[in-house]
Amino acid sequence: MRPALLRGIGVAALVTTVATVWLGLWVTPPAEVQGTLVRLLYIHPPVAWVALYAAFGLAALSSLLYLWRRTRSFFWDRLAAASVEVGVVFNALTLVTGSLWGRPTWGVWWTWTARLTSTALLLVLFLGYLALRRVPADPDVRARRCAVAALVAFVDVPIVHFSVDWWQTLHQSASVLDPTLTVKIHGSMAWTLLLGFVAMTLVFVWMVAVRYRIELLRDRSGMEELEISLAERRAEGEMVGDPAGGPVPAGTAVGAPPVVAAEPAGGPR
Amino acid sequence: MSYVAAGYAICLGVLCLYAASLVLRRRRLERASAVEGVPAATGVPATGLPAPGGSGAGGNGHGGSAAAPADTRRPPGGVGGAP
Repeated sequence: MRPALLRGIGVAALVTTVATVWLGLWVTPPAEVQGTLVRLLYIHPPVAWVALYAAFGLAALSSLLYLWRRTRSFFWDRLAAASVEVGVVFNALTLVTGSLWGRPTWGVWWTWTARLTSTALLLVLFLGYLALRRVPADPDVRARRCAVAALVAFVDVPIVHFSVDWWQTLHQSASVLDPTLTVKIHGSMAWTLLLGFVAMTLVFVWMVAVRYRIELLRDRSGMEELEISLAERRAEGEMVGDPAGGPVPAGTAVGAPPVVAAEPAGGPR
Repeated sequence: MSYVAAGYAICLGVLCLYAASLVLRRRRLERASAVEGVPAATGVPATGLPAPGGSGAGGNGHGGSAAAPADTRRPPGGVGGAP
């Protein structure tokens, strides 16, 4: 992503987030039943939307594209990694903001109902994904392993979504994205909530772009270290194979570089 | 502190901290790659030895793996589809 575009997204994310906070805390009226607690709902659903659908959805899609031979590229692996890390932060925030809303509303910080439990399980599953990425392995093996793990973990997302319909739970059903798509929220509240969704989505896009860049730089740094060590090994091989400085005979194995499975024989296609 | 204020403070605080950590990590890596990138870009590693896959011994006509920037690499079995 171009730096100017990234900066633009960052500024837009900041402006919309500040606007959401201002509208949510000082402009919109308190709700008839929930009172001022409704203000938490301008951040909780947008944060949950980013975690469940945007971040983990993008991670699952990227993983699928990596596993598919026709589209296989480390781009998708890096995008999935970036998306999952950002998604884990948003998932944790979903649980925290939900708990802060639940304590005064339900009387408990936490309850083992389907929606909450499946959301917590989702966090654990994607933390496992991040742990799996840190296990040393050949880059392609690691990417495949993580892609499969992301797809397995993503199975929990529809369970989280439909948990309020499938089981009896304290958590209310969908109030905006219900099957009829009828918004049952007052005007200024609905607009503030919508702005919250836009703000958190922009924050997510910016964070994923920056996180992707970090992953790319790490990969390049690893490749440069590999190049240097390969050059050293080749030079050692040449010196041992022919101290006089002549050509190295074909098939000389001394100083051969280690096999790097990340790269197909013959270089990139 | 009310639940609402706590919710906003935690949410925005965590997002700000995470964003700052991302920026700092990226800057550190960019600085490191700028230092390392000078010899790599000229094809001569910091050790002063010739880069593999160049015009010297071992060149296979494809430039070797070391000549490829990381973002253009393809994993084994990949047949393109560069985004």
